[in-house]
Amino acid sequence: MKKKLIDTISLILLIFVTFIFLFPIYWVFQLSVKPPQLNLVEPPAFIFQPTLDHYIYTFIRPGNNLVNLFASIIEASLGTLVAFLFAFPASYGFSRFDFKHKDSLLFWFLSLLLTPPIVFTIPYFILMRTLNLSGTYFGIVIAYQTFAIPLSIWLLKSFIDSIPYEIEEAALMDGAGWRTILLKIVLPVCAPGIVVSMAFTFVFCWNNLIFPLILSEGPTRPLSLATFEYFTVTGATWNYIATCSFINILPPLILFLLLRRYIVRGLTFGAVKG
Amino acid sequence: MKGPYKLLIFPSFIFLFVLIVYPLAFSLYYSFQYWNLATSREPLGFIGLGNYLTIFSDPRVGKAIITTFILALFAVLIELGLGLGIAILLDRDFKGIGVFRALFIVPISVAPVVAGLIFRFMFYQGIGTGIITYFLNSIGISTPETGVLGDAQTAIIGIAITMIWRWTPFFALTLLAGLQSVPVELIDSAKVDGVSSFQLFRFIKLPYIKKILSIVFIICFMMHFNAYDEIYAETRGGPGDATTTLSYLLYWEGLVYYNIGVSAAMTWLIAIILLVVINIYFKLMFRGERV
Repeated sequence: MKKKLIDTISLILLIFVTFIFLFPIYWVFQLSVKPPQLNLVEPPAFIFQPTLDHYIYTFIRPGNNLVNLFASIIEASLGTLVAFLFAFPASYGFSRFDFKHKDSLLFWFLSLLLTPPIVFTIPYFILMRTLNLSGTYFGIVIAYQTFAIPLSIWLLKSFIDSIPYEIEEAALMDGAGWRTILLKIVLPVCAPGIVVSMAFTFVFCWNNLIFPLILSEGPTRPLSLATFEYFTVTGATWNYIATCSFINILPPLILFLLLRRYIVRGLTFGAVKG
Repeated sequence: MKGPYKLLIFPSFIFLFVLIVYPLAFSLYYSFQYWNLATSREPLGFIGLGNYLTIFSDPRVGKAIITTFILALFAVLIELGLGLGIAILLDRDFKGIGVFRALFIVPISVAPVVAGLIFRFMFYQGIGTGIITYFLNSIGISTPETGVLGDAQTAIIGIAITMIWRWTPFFALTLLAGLQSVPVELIDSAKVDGVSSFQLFRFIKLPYIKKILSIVFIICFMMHFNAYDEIYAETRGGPGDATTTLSYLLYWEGLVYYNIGVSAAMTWLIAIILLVVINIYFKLMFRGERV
């Protein structure tokens, strides 16, 4: 009886809290399909005839932001791929071997994830300008590696740690080389973990603002940054800001919901298994 | 085990080392040079500690340090409290609880800059009214004429609310993971001994999540200390310098005023503050323990 009462109270509280935390997402979505004259009316307009005009304007005709969406996809994907190529062998090394200063080295990687990215921006800005790489995908993808590689190493290591070592040992006995072991055994066995790690790295790249802010121009501007063009001296075109924002939310949202079992591990860089 | 660990780790290590050392060396060198990119393409020469003297005599720097710590400490403590409360609710076991656990992922997936844009719209006050402003006014809380984000006193609260919205679910889900890692036998035997649910939480579950809490807290504190995106989206450090954090001040100095020398010196100031904070934290948290 008492348990039932507490359950009911918890449920009511949970519904209330969940409503508050989801409301901003709903509000940006409804803004993206709202007739502009209703954006900021008092009292707020909850019921209206939705329109797809804003999506059509931003992504189809003239679709100025389509190129930014592509830039977001390319930058985050390349950033993830490059990070994986470096991090996969390294995470295996950290997982399976013991050596001097291993803990300090891992800790150094972790500390990079907590460093304010702003401290890298000005040197990178000057460097990329000097090398004529400002406004290229290359510069942004390289800058992403400051967090993408450490993040991938920590996540991949946490997954490799959890697969048994016996298979590799047997392969070693049979005289298999390290390359064979990595590519033919660890890669397939660890595939789910690799997918999860890459997805998290992708989201971290996708949600990054500061490196594209200083290193991108025109067509290489990712979607989140291009949104700011809709703030002008005469006011903000909120509906276009909302369509870009909502589209920008979707890929991380879908990935995180699909990978909800791993969300705690991903967000704590593999430190908490969850 | 012996093996080619050097070969496996070196590529990442060297690549990152270059990526990190270059900016640090750059900042160290130019922090002793006079260089304003707006007036000169090349540095104008060695000025000793000139840039460091500039930042220490600049009242904005002290103010930015205070703003940064206030934002980081207050927001994180509120998130911790709210997050722990939600985690306790989510730890209960009834039908449909999985849906709630999944829904709390949603705010975490939103890019900080997008969170900033959404709240900027909801806080809006001007030609028309944003929904938070409308709600506050209708329950009798008056908002400043320039809007929550447009007033020097309340802007920082607006930024904090944005961050609290995004990060509370992070605490809730990580602490939930901690609560659920408590072995069932431990809880059962405590129940047999007749402990109250408060005692169960205080003496059995809380010690269990302490380790997770210490990791999550420092990650979250650093993310707030480095906060930049929300401020860029919502207030651009203003009004005045009311929401100018250290990160934002550095950006402003280096990439708006192009004072490369001064911003380089500021980089080292931030690095030193961080080293001190992290060292104190780990000394307090892991007394004698190996991290």
